[in-house]
Amino acid sequence: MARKGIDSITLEVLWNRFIAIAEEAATEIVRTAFSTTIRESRNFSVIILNPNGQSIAQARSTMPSFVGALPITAKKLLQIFPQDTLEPGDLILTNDPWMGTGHLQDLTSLTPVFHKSKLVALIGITTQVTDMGGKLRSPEVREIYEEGLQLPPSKYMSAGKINEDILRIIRKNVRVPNQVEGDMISHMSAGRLAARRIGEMLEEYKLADLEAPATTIFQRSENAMREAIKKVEDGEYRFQVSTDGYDEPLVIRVEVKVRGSSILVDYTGSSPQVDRGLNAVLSYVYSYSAYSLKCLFCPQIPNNEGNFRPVTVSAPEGSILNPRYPAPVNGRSMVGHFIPSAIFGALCKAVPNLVQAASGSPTWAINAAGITKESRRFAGNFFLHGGQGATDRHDGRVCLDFPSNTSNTPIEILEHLVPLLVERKASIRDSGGSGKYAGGNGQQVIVKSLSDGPILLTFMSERTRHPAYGLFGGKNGRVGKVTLNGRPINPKRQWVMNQSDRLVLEVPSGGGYGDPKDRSFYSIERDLQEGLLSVQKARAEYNYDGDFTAVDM
Amino acid sequence: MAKSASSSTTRRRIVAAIDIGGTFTDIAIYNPSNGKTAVGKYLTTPNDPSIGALAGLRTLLDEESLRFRDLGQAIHATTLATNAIIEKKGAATGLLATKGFADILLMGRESRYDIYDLVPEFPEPLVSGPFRRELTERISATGEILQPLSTQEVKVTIQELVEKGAKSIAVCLLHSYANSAHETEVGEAIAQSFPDVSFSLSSQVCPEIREYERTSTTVANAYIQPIVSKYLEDLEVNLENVSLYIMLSNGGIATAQSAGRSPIRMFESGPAAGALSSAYFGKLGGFENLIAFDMGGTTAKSCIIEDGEPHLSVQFEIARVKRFTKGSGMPIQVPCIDLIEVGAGGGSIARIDDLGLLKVGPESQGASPGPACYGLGGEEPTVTDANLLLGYINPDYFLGGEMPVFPEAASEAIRTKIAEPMKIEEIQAAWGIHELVNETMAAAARIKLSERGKDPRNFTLMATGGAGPVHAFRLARKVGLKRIVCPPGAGLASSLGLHTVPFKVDTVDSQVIPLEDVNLTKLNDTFNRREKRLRQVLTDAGVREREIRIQRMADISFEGQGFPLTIPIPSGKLTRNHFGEISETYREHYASAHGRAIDEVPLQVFGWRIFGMGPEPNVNFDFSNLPETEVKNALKGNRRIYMPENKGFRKVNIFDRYLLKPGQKIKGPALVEEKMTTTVIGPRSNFQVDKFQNLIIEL
Repeated sequence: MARKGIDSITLEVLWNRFIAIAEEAATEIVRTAFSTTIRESRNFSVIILNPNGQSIAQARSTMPSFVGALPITAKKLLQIFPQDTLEPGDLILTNDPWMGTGHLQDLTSLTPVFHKSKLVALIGITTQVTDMGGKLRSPEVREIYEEGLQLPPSKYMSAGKINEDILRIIRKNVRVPNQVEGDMISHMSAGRLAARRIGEMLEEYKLADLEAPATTIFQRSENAMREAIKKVEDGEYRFQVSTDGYDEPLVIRVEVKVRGSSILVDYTGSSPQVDRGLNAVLSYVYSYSAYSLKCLFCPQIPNNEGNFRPVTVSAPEGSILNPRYPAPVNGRSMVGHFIPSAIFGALCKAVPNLVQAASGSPTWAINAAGITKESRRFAGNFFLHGGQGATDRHDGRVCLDFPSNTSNTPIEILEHLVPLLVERKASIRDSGGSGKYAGGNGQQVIVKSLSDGPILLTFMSERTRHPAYGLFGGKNGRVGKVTLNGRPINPKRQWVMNQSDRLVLEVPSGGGYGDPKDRSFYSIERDLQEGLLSVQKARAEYNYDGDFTAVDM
Repeated sequence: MAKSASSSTTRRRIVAAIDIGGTFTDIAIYNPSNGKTAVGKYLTTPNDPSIGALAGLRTLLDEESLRFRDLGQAIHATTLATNAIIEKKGAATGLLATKGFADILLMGRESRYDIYDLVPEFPEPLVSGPFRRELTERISATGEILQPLSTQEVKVTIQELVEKGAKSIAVCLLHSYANSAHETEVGEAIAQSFPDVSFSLSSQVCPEIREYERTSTTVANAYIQPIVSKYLEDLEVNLENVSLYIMLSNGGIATAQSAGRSPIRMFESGPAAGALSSAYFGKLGGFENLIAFDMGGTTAKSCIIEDGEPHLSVQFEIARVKRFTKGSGMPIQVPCIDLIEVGAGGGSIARIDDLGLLKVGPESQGASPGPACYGLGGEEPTVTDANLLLGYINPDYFLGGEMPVFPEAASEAIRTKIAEPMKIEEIQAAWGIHELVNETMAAAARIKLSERGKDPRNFTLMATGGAGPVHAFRLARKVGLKRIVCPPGAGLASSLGLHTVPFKVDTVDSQVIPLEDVNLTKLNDTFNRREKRLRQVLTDAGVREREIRIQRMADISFEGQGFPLTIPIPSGKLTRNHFGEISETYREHYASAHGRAIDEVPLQVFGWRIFGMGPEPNVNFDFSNLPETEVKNALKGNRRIYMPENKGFRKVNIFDRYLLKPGQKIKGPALVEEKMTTTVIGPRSNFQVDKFQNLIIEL
């Protein structure tokens, strides 16, 4: 095949193959990983990169925050382990937040792929493990040292041989060593599988490397993204969102500068970095910024380097969106998940038909750990999600993760892992922001301890003071709330739950879109029917005058 | 109605197999005493499929000078359950959930199947708001009753649901897989107060951990139950004294009564029959490891068969909102033939996307208007049009020459809609369409093989359907398969597969617990009770006691993992001494699937399964009605076909399938034509027919 070009037909076939290979590797991870964060919540990504660390294709079910960060990690790792130091059977591993996804619980690996002795690709994998030692995951921490084991970029495997010292160090530092080791094995077997498949593909198409298809994929994707951006009027679009912060609110200020076919996202004016784990490193911020723009402008094209090229992201050093080491970063999603709503807010005047009202994000979680009577150590994450924001054509869905994409943890699985009893998990009626299209309801979860010992609890929670905004007359969603035995608590802190304590979480709801007066009668009645809306609210906010009578539920 | 399939008559009398598909109803009658087999294909009558089936059966019996009363059994596969859900024809269904959890069905797993789609659509739940009700009760993860049921509340809630119009009720309480007492009690209460209302208990339909998936499965079961059991009852009446058995999605058969109780288990009944047909004929030709690949007009389906047994999957999805997109449907957690379905058939439409790239399917022209070359008004370029231009299909011998096709129309569609906009040669466009279809299917097959760590070189591709043999060669090459088998007639009547199935029943007891903590006394007791029950079901179905085979299996994983492997475990009384053996077997299975096991990690059990099976029926089909092969030269001419190796056309020989002599080896490339399809054979290969008239291609 000619070096410089590749025909459209072969390109489409190879592109499909790249995605299929990433998918196959993802399947392998789900089957072999141990942590519930991976196998139940699918908190991982697989990306095929070229030898320079540029992403060619990714598995479909993947984490938005990892997608943009992984190529950055790869490029940084290549500076430490240059291409000519890599050999078949290597696996480079790190959890350095500044190198990649922004907190220690994410393990990122790079598997070099060789074909006929030539480095042709890298397989990048990020998985979130249940535990990395340190303080149970919580924004309460003041320095990264409290957050757990830091694993600087290392060759965990050299030419097929595991560095047993590193393995022992990791095992010694984490609460659930078998789970973490199992997860590391999933990196190895998925990387190996993807490498083998790439070799087979090169054989079949008589290619020496991936350069020709990769270059064309980048070019076409970049063009498509640029075409879409060109349709937006040039200008500086600004917006600001606030988060609860630890004690004091934090501000994310954004300016989205559209110039021709390029976009610059600048976060100047955002809060300075804080001495709590609420800082998001720049690669993570980049990841969510690029993701937000892709959702708006180019959702249908499989993601790759080309989509990123028209986008530049900057944030002042020393701010919550670009903190200096050793800032604590444990709860970085408590800030980073606000990025899409900041960008959508900025662009809502420019592309009202593309944006979405704010969702009841970020992803909420309960992290619980302790020791059972039988001296068995337990640790588990329980993910739960808020309501989705509405758009100019759709209601927000009840409880759907956005911008992250974590599945909830089944109650029955949670109750096997930790001695907690969930008493209720239900949509909160009337909580979604009203609108021509309504925001999705959030959920209420009530949890009791069944342990005779204390259970250590931390949370990922936000929007308890700052609601998800509505757009164009749509109302805000309801804020979230955490109470322990009836008293509101600061969920950013660590708590201890004793036997028969009762914990109530109310996850925030999504914002509405458009004037509620314009909502269709059919939609109002359907929401009444489904128990999402009460007759009182229907009458008050939608001028509903139908004769639906509430069922006593 | 009373079933009296006495053991002495089982499979002694003539058996009718009926497979009702979307377009055709396949019927095969088989006489076990002399092997005589007759096969017929009849149009399906969509409004009441039993009408077409019974009429077809009567016709076929007449042709063979037989009557209804000569029949001993009927075995039946049907798409009724599938259609009821797709067409939303199910019953008004109520849901009873644990207090605090009625919204589980609405919330699902709270994640998006496409991360860049801001507004992913999800299927409407089968139970609407007012029909989702709660009961005050709670069972713990270990099966302990934390809060007993209130008899009064149960009674009132059921009454309210029925008054509201519920015809069927799904009962899905938390942790019922660990302790079914509460669900059973609710079921009894429904049966007592409202004998006409059907009910489905999650602890019976799907006794497995994960509340959303279990609820989704049980609700779907409840939704189709009234319509399916009514259909089965009517069919039994119409079949007079013939005992009726149903093909299940997992490849087993059950009595009509038991299938009527868990109709969700017959969801993929038709494809299961097809897979078993492939397995049987594969075995007959000596091929135990197969990828059964069936490509028709709108989709291609495939299924992996290993050691003569189709692979099963523990979960599948129905009613996908976004076609063929995983995660956009409702999860169903019952064992099912592990079916791969991709939206690429002969009628699939080719188009150019926003990036200027070629896409094929899943939109299809179906049979009407069909591909452009049919000349029936279809203007979109399809896979069949591409195959025609590539020379793979003979325009003068389409359906044996019975149907005219128009290459100019195919050419025009591909030129104007694909080649010109893409600025490429027409033939390049046609090859692109062909190749892309192969790639899509290869990707699907590869992922299935690798899910289980299988080496493609050990598998044979069995290609059926009108378009299957056209694509088989390139597909096999892509996946790395070494052999292709094309059975005669572009397919095997899937109804034949129904004759080859042993009676099969299974049970599962879900319990998530470290292997070390298993209470052996209780487990042995459960095993004994279950086995006794299975034996009873099998003997009721006419299987002789001494012919019953029982296999116990365990779902085991390393502690902390979420997806277990199902491994065989010893029969008889289990003791602690067996744990070593079980652990050994598990580690072997794990290492073979994933390359490496972890030594230190203890094991945990997810569930215990028992499979009971009758004997494999000793079928020996005798098709005395097949055309006689006259020994004549099979070479009927030659044609230029597109050959990617040459980047252009090349003249190849055409052989008449009906005239090929068994044992005669011929070198590819070549075309082998028959009425229903054309087999395309590429270079670096050879082929021959075997004594069963299978066309065998070695790559």
